[in-house]
Amino acid sequence: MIAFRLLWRELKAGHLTLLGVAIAVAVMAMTSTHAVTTRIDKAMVAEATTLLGGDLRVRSAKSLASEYIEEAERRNIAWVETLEFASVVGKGEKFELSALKVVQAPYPLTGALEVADSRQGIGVTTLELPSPGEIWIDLQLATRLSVDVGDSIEVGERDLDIAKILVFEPDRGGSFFSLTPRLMMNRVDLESTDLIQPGSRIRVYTLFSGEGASEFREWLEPQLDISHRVQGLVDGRPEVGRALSRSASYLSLAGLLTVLLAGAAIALTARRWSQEHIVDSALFRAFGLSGAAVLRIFAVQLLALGAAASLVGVGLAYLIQPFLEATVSGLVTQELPSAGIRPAILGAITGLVTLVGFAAPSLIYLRNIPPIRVLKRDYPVATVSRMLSYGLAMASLSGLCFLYSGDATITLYVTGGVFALVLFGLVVGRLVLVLLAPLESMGGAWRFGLQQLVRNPYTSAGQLISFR
Amino acid sequence: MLVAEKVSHGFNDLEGRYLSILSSVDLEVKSGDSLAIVGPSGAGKSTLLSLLAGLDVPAEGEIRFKGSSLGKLTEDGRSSLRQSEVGFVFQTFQLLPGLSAVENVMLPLELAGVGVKEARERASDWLTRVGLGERLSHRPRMLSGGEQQRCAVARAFVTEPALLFADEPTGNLDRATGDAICELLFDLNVSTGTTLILVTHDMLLANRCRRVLKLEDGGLSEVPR
Repeated sequence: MIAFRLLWRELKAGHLTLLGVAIAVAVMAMTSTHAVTTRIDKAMVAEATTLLGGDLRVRSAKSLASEYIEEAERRNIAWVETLEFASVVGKGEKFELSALKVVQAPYPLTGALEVADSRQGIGVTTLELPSPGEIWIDLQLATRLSVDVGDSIEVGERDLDIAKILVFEPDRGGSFFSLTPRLMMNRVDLESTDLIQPGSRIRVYTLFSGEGASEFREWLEPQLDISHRVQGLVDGRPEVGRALSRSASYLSLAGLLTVLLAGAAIALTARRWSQEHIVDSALFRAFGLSGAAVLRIFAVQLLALGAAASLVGVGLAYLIQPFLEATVSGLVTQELPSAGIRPAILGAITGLVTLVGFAAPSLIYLRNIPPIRVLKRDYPVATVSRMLSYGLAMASLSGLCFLYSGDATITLYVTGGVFALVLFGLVVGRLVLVLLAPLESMGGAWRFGLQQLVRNPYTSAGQLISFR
Repeated sequence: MLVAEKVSHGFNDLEGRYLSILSSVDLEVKSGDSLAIVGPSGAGKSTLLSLLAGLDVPAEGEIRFKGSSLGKLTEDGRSSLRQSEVGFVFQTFQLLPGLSAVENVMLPLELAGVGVKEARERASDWLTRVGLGERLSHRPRMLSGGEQQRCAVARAFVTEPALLFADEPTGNLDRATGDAICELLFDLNVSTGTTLILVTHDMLLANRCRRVLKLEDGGLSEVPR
């Protein structure tokens, strides 16, 4: 109770404004970047699943065993099988090695095909597939064979009519196979073309899509032999997966830099706050409180402030989402989905972890104030070791780095980098102060200003690091 | 009630040399007594006060309060003793600037676990008793020096301590205000039966006490009356 009353009074007096602002800024930075990366991530995952044709794709040389298909159906996971193989197709004297794709409904499970009515036509999305007796070919094949919609070409033993120009197929991917001219036909016509012979090299793709696709993958993958290849978003479209994880990591690191700066501000402000409360602490001790009870009072104040400032930071982070959305709108083609509650929770954790990591030394210092300080202002106080202070700050930063990146290597690099920066800052800071020390003899403002810096070298160096 | 036996104490200076402040000091204080400790600046008056109040422990010797040796108590044990038995009045008042007068007086009660309602009632009573009944919601900066010290006196008495330590209670006040505070302290000493131990330079104030002790060269001697 007394802790909250003191906190309220201090807030009204404006003594905690800077500390609160530092926490709120740290939380806002991390929450907003995490919310944006989450939203981009969700959008790109949604976009990428359309690029895969489903949530999961199994490549094999022949159709998947029926027990796997039955298990997918039991889990309410939609599935469809497509075939791909290379064959020569032709028109008159012209022949071209092409990639043939044999499809059937409900292909594609995610995303949509785009077709045009002629070689010069503009692609439009369609939910249809080539009808029996018809084919869709891409512009590359149409150009090479000098054909257009309405013509027919030889596909194996059949002449099939070109009904559309194929502009986009979601699961085409970026492999060499995908660079060859393309032709799409209905599964119904496959047998009559007589293209598949014993020993023909075909790729069978079974696409799956549904809520439990990742759990299904966990069940399915261990049961498949080496002739099967299971592909999800990251391994199916590695270029998309890598881009996703890299962008999320870099944005989180940018947020962490803000946390580092805010942490330095928190440490300096908390230090000043603890200096201002030496008398209060000594008075509480003189009135009979134990060191632990004094620590509790101040810790409750700081944590309450941290919680309130974190809420403000989270609120601001969500408020500025429309502006951030506008700046990243070019990265994804679809509207960004909601970030959900996770960035808010992580943001609040960031605020409290940063506060504890950077302000804990000040709290420990207040706990160490002996009661005799009510009578003797120069009575020495057990200081908190610098190793502990920097250690706590580094530990909180490393913890946050791992929380956001989920990557031990990145965490190690960031921790090492920050450690090197702090060390460099301390050395350079001390050097600068040693070089400036002779200026004290100039007297006046120089003397007073430099005295403060030189007498508190570690604090001054800490401030220098913050400015860097 | 309070006994000091062969108490010696000192500090290490910046060069690490030991400076003796108190040397084999003996003292006995009876319940309800009033005692002034006088002496030149730097004689160790505040050091002796801090040892007697259990704010620090002597390097040598023993201090007993109601039969319990303060040196043998843990830090938390001494804290607990101060909470229930000891009150303080300081030269610089030491009121928390963020709290109102009544909240400052409530502070030791709340820290001792007394409920807010009861603490507020008791604090208001004491502030009325020291003449600040109309100033309950005023912050320290809105009070004069004398009023702030009255508030500090109310805060010291609100827990009804057995022992009250006052460190230069009139040191920051003009003569007239100091006299009024002095009057208040001795009235309360008599009316509440609280034992009063004060440290002062002011012989007029010291002479109001039943006993006056002079601290000089580390030794304590009774000043003849």
